[in-house]
Amino acid sequence: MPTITASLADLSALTGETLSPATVEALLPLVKGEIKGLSGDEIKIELNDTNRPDLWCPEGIARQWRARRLGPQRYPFFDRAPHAPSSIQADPRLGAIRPWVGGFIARGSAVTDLFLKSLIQTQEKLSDNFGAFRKTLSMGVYRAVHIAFPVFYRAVGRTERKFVPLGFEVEMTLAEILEKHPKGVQFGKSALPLKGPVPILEDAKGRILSFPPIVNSRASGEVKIGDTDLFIEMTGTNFWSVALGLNICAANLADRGYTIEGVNTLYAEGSAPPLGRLVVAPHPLADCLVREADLPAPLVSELLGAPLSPREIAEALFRYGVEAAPCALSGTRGSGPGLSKEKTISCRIPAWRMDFMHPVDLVEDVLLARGLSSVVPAMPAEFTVGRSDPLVAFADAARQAWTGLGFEEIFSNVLAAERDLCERLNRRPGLVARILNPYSASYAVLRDSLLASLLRVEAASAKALYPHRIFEAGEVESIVGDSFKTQLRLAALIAHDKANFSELQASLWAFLVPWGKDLSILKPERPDPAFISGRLGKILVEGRPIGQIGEIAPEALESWSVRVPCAALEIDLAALREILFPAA
Amino acid sequence: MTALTPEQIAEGLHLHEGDVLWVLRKANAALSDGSLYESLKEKGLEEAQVRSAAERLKLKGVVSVAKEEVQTWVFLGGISRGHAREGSVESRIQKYLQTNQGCSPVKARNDLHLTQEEWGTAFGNLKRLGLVETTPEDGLKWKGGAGEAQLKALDEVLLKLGDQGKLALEELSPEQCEEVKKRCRKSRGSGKDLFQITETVKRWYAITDLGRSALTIFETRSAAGLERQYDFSISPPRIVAGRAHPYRAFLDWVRRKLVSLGFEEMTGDMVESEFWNSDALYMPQFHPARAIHDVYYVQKEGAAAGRDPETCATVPSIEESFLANVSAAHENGGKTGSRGWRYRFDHARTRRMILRSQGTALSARWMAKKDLAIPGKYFGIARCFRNDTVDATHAPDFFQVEGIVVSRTINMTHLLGLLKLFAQEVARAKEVRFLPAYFPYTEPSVEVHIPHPAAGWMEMGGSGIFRPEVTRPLLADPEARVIAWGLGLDRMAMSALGISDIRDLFSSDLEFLRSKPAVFL
Repeated sequence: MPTITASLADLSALTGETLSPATVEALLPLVKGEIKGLSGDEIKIELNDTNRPDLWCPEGIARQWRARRLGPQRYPFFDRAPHAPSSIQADPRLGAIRPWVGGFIARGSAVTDLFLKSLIQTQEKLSDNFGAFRKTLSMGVYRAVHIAFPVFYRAVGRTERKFVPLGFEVEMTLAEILEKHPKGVQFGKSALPLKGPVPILEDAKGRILSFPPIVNSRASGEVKIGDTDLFIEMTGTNFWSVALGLNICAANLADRGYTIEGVNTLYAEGSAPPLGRLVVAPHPLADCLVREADLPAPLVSELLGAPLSPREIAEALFRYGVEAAPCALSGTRGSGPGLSKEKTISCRIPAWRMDFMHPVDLVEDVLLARGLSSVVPAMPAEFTVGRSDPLVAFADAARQAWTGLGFEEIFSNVLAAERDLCERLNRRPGLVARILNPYSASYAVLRDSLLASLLRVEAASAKALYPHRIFEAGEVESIVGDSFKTQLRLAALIAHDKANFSELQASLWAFLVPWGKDLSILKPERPDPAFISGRLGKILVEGRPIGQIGEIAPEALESWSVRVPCAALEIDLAALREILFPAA
Repeated sequence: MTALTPEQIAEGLHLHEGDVLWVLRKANAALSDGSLYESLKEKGLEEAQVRSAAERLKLKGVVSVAKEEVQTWVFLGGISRGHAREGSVESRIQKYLQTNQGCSPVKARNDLHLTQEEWGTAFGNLKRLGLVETTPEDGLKWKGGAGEAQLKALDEVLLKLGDQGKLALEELSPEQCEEVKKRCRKSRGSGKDLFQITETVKRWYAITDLGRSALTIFETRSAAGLERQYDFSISPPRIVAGRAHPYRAFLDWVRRKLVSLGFEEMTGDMVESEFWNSDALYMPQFHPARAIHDVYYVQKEGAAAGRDPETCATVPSIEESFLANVSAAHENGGKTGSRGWRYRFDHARTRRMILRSQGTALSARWMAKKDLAIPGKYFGIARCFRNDTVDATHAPDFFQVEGIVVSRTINMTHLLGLLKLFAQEVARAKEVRFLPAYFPYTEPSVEVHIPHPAAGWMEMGGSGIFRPEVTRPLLADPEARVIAWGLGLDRMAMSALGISDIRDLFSSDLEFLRSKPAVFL
């Protein structure tokens, strides 16, 4: 989730109100924001809605806040396709590399220090957060006076062209930039293919503007305070992100007093942009992303639990910046069960928002405008029966029984080091659920038995008052056939000078005998080197195996540096439950 | 402590203390703890009881310590326990080589079932003593020589210890002493040592004048049948008792709460498909929280660790009806009335196996149940996993409690009502604050905050009404709605248990666990 830095004075100017930290805090729910820091005029705001990149800048926040007083804001360039004298021509060879491009020109206001900082921040948030580290979207800003249109978006070989990138004094090839320039190192691998041609933007006079999405050229790409004419460009692998990003920036610059001049992008024959081969930016996006929708009034009332009239709903949406008017539903859009003859609200969603997918998204806008405090907490009226999972309930009973037998319960993490499960138990590596991308070798597999968890406690508790009688009931991950299965097991361990098999068996029998089942211990078919050979038994209840019990092998004790003899058992709780409660 | 009078001492004298005093007065000389025990064992006293009585008497000033002597004992070390009668590893190698001259080191080690470490240490010793020789052509050879005497000395000690358990160091010959000392660290034998040396102190006690007076009064009191007067300031002995684990007890308590509020428990597997963990919850496949650096993938059998998704284990299939509806919801909304996320749904990716990253996966599974009772309230306490560093605020795996209410009449008022109830009942919060939030699977979405003594407010969890893109493809009833919430339990438990490091919730230290209450009301 992005965190931005803003100035209270700037936010106040953009909102048209004098804001204090307290009023900011009160207004932040409207943009799902939280104050993360405050020092003097500077305020850090975390924005929680990852689907509203238009709010990741002071202009966007202020626009949303203005709406509550002024309603939806209209920008002329979204109402009709703007006149576009300039153009960008896209190279079809970029189709497989980074196909989409667009831009616009902003004129008429001088860049200030504060605005420049804010613009750079917006560029970072859009490119790095929303653009997935510049892959799906990245943004560049240039001094427009240095650019001769049309601009060409071209695929070139990595050593074919040279230019002086921002922050450097010498000409570099694109390959050198990827290798040496800090931005090349940071974004090259994630945002561009590892081999083959890469994109550049150059103007009609053959001057390189930038190497998108890595770095601008020093000549035209270094915006200075006082510049009045800017060219904003975006490229990426996601067409809609590029279009939306340009719309957000155009609205931001318009809010800063700039006049927006559209730029056409011309795609070559054969490429298939979703909006046709000639795309203008900024774009109303009217027919492509859903911009107009009918919101059924009953849906709002049903979800919010408050009877709201279409007028009240429209009024709330208006205050959230959505153009909305009650109307009788005529078409079939948005029809749901029993809604066809109900009143609906016809809505028009701003061109800088992409979060609308379903009418429920408008319901949330209504809620945000009215505030969460408008919802009166209530209890669901329908009666339901509470119930534990039967196996968990059985595990509870077993745990209670073992505490009653004088055992102390332990509780461990399921992630373990593979070494702890095999080598340190004197066992051979077997089939366990291994993590493909472990964070560290200490937590690289899911435990397949509880024995290591018990020994870990024993190893860490040499100074704890003896005797030690411990147990754990918990999940292990087993491989059954060719699939993984989470099992609930119970394991117990005794550790003291005279700990042995029969003492632990006595506890096990005390646990099992009351059910009156046939109990026996048999020699296992296969030895388990974690236990002393000849002192390991298979536990059978009614002739069915449920686990094993034995004395732990000195080699295993040794590798955990446990100095006292230990006996341990491990049983499968589901198997035991099936035998004891066959009907359940 | 003010000095006690003979009368006060006599009143509180323990029977064992009386016995010790009586023996000392009779002997009229200083007696060692050993001989005190010899005189009293017929009365049924144990060595430890005699020692502790003598020490208590010393504190009361009724006996004095006339002499002290430090004694050094040799015990078997960690690796020789159970093997003492086989002799040292070195002499086992000797016996083996004498009949297997010229074999390879690997064969010898395997035949003798020695670990790399055991072999390395013993073989190093033998080389140092000049007893073995190894050449690439001739393999291992036993050379013999003066060093054999040292091995013999060592084996004698091992054999004796095998029989007797402990030996006084002074009983050993000088060569044996030297060998033993070489092979252990003082007093705390590491597990890797052959021997362990422990020192004990032998004390000689004598009765003082105060002791004689106290004993006389004690005898009179005993003759008169007067009971001993207890000293209530003494702490009782510690015992080890069976008890629940504090964090488990907390989780149990949360479960009991939810069951009592009419919720039925959901459970599920730790290894989950991307489909049920994320896709079914309408999290787009490009969502950053689904990236390889955030989620743990499960390795395909035989593959190596790494970051190549091709080596990720996959489930054989996803039930077709759910898969078709969910993928359509992502791509264009399908029949949900949504426009969808508008990208190409990856059908290979959805089958990838991951470690459950959110408890909400349980809710997705439950909603898809054909026999799900509607209206119904469901909850699950789920162990979850995220690819993250392990530190004071991140455990390797952690718990979330997740809940859904499925009903045709459920709405936001009920969501806030239940959240408020949980804040009061589960987190014991007096106040609760709701803030708008964003989650890919709910709309509207709400975060719950409760007061925190240090941090002001603390986030208790997230919630909302499941989007139609989530419920329509899964639920049998198209008109039912679902409110959902997920609360992190670890932080609540830490605050209830007074713990500041999350790893302590899973502590391996028994004494630490014993220091925490395991009762929640």
